[in-house]
Amino acid sequence: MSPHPMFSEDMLEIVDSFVVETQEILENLDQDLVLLESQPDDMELINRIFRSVHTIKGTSGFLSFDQMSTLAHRFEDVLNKMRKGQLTFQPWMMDTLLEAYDQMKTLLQQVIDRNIQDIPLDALLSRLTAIAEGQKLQGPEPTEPTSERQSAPEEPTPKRKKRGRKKRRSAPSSSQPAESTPVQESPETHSKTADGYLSRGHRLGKVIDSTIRVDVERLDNLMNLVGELVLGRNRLAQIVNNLKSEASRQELADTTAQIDFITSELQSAVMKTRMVQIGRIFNKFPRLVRDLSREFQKEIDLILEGEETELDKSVIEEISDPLVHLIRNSVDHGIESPDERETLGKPRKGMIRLAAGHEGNHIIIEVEDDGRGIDPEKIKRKAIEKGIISADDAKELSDAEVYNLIFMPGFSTAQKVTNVSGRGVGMDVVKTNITKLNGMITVKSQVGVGTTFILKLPLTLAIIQGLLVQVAQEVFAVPLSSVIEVVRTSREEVHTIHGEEVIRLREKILPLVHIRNIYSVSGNAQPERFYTVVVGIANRVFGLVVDDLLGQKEIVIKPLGAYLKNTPGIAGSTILGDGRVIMILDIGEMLKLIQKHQKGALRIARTDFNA
Amino acid sequence: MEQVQLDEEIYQMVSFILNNEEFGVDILKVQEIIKMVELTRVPNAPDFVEGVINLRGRIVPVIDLRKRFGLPSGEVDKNTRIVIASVNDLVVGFLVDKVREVLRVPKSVIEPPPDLTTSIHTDYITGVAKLEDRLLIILDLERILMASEKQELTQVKSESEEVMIEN
Repeated sequence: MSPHPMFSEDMLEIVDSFVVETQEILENLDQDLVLLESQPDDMELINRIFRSVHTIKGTSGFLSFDQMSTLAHRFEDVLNKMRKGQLTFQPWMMDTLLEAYDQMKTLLQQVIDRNIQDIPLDALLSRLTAIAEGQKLQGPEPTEPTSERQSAPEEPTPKRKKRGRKKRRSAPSSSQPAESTPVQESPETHSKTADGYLSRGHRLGKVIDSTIRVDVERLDNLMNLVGELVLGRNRLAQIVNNLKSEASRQELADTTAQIDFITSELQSAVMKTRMVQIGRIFNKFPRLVRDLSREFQKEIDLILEGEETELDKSVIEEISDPLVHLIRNSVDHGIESPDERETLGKPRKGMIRLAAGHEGNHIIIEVEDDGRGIDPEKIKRKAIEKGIISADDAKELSDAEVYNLIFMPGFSTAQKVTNVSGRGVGMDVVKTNITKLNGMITVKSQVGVGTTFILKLPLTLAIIQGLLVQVAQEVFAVPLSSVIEVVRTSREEVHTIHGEEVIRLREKILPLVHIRNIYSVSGNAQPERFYTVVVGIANRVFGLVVDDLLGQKEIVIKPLGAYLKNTPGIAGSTILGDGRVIMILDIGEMLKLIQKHQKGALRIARTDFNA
Repeated sequence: MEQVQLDEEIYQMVSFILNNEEFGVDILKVQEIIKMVELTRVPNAPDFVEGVINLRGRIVPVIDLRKRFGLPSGEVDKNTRIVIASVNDLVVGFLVDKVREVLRVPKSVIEPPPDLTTSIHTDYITGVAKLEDRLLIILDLERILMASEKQELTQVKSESEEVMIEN
């Protein structure tokens, strides 16, 4: 197939901005469509959907993306009639509308991939036309909702799918972010959530006026410059300390103080330009939960909280996948079927709560469900069966340690393998991504009551707080986001269990890791008294043995460059005030270096230290 | 000394000494030459990576060419230099015993690498220039970096395994 005329050199910029704009529209459209199911009479909502689709029709037509334009056109016809009151939304239409949405997304992906190929749309188009003309679609028997929407044009049936309606999520109510009880389906709730949603919509409208779109690359560049400035500032501060003459010293100190202030301001201003509301990724979850609940025949309310919480774009991108996995996990393994719930005396409708918030320099994201909880005994059995632990090991494990097992690669307790979870990869992926972000994950669960996954992530990855530690003659930086606490330790406090060195810390066993060994540091031997830096990464906690602490510094991560980027256990480097280069330790990677051989204490390192 | 026709192609080379042999690299690849500075060791990196330096705010890895070529290691003295080269967007420093001069080498005196005239693997050599009084071994920096990248990967792997066993 010959390349689409729009991919010529001079059109690329226009096509790219089309992609960005359309992606943005589709992101919101998804949520709006799901909302339409529960608020079919909301004219403002219908108008908003209409405008979105109308815009896509116009821009795609202008750029000769014919299929997308045709699809949007028919879609628009339906919405236009609804808007004018000539057609009333019926729940059975939703499948067709969502399919139209999905196909627009597929077509947009083709544009992104620069590979335009016609996809079969005729059936969908004729269904849209039929809906627009007010025909009730004829089908065989009312079918159970199925995820294969593309399969048959006759699939949607005139029968009102009450089930589908019930399973709608409760719309987020951003005006009441602290609301934590599942919203019951009632007329008042409808209007309440609708109000909440609308006010948000209006607010969004205003925000749009005051924002511009900036290429992330430019921001990265800006961020790098600020990084240099921070380093310069640190150097100045160092010089001040070394200066002897009182007068010149004072002058320099004043200048330094000023630069210090400006740098910090500039740094925070630039950081803010990179901040994105987490609502951007939360947006896609209502649809996900809707589709998953249909698939698993469950009834679930999704409650979103703290969507306005901001975090760095780089973190946002990495956090999306783990959240999808956690939510899938809750739908599949957590929430019981409606009948089962009724028998247990729980409301038929389950609840999943996705909440974000700040805590110091971290962001906390919680995924909570009121499902069956994690049964430690079941996990142990499974782990023994899979050969992950031995029966003897199992007896010694605390509940927190048992929960950690679900993050092991290849672990899955699902009775049958489904296409969303139970492949035993999901939780492993979650852990990998969280580790990459220097974050932590904690699990809390109570059988029969529910499970909560708590993610703790750094706000940004570019400039971090580092704890400078000394081992023999070498200085290393430990990302402060991974540091839980530091304790003074002396030789005699160190015990050996299964050949591994551990210390007791408040009645808990903390495995020790010697930087000397892992990073082959030569020189002076380990002093009698030393510091143990308690670090946590993903679901592990362990103690790093260092000779001395040199303090806490704001450090700018400088990559080691393409040539050395694969060096294990090193996250990058940074330049100190005196120009010296030091290595930043990669706690997650370090874990990989030591994990396999330390079968004993470290493997079951606990997460509950930070609780 | 050089009897060169005007239209003949001439290469400009930076020449340096390594283990008493003279090597040349294309001057266009050399960004600058600096005196020895404080190096920071990069743990778990290949052993020929001597460390990284702070080059005006930029982190640059430094490769010890003696170690890279398997030559006996030398002492750092006042002649020791770091040749900062930029190869395929990769900025890397090469530790050499001494930098000698910048010279113009006519293409006609460059011969393909012979098999046994040098202690260095012929893969890393583009040719040997026969100057009036001496030989100049012309290095292929791209190959040196590429090959070491491969070696680095395998080495890194075996090193991490080593670490595991040690502990």
